[in-house]
Amino acid sequence: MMCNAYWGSGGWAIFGSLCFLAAYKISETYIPRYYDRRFGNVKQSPRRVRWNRKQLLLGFVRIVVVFLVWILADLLLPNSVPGSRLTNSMVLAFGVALLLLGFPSTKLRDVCQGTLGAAVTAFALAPVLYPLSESQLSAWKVVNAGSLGFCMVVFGLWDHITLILLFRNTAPDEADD
Amino acid sequence: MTKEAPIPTPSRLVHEPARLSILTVLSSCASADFVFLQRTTGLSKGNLSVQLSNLAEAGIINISREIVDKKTLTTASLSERGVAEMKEYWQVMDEIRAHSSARETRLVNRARRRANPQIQSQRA
Repeated sequence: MMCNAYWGSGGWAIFGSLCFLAAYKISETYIPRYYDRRFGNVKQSPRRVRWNRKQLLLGFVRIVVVFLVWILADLLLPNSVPGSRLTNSMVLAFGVALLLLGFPSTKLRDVCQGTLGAAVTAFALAPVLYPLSESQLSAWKVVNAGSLGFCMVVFGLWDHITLILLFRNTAPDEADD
Repeated sequence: MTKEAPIPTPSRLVHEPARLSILTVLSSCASADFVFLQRTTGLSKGNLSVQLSNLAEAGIINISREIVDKKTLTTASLSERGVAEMKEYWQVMDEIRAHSSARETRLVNRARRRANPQIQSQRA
C-alpha cells in the first residue's frame, strides 16, 4: 500500500532546520549549564561492560529488527519527498528500537520507554494500516515527524523529575562553590 | 571455652558519618563537584568544606579547583590511597558483621540449650 504525502514548501524545511539548530544549541550549552549549577557535576567512573552470550544475541536481534523495519518502512510508508521518506522510516525504526529496548526489563523507566516505543510505532504505521484522507495524512506527517522530539522531551522530563525527587531534601544554600 | 578473636576496628577517619557519605559518593564515580556532593550527602556548605579538607590532608581524596564563569569549581575524586582505604573499610565492616552474626548464633544456640531441658521437664 503506497500513500502519497509530501512536506510543505522549502520555507518550512528551513524553519524546521533552524528550530533543530536552536534546540541543539540549547541542549548542548544551556541545559548542561543549568543542571551543573543546580545539581552539580559528576563524572561516571569508567566501567567495562561484560556482555554474556544471551545479551549479545538479543542486541544483535534488536539491531536486525530495527534495520528490517527501516527497510520495510521505506517501502510502505508515505514517501514522495526524500526528506519525508527518511523522516518517516526513521521515526518507525526509532519507535521499534524504543519498544525493543524496553522489552525484557521490568524497570518502570524501561516499561514506560517500551510503551512509548509501541505508541510511536503504532502511530507511524497508521497510514499503512488504515487509509487516511488528505487532511488526516497532513496531520499525521506533522505529528509523526514530531514524535522524535516528543520522546526526547518525555525522557528529559523524566530525568528532570527523577533528579528533583532524588534531591528534594538536600537544597544547597547558594551554589557558588 | 575458646577465646574469641578481637573485633576489628574501622578507620576513624573513614567511619565518621559525614566523611563516610562523601567517600561513598566518590567511590561510586570518577569525580564529583562541590554542589553534587552537597546535594547527595545533604551536608551544609561549611561542614562539607571542612570534611573535604580533612580528607584531602589525609591523602584520601584529591581536590582540584578551577575558575569557571568567575566562580571556583571544586572537584573531588578518590585518590589511590582512598580507594585502598575504602576497600579495607568495607572488609573490616564485613568482618564485624560476620563476627556479630557468629556471636548472635552462639547466644541463640546457648539459649536454646538452656530452654530445652525446661521444656522437656514441663512435658514430663
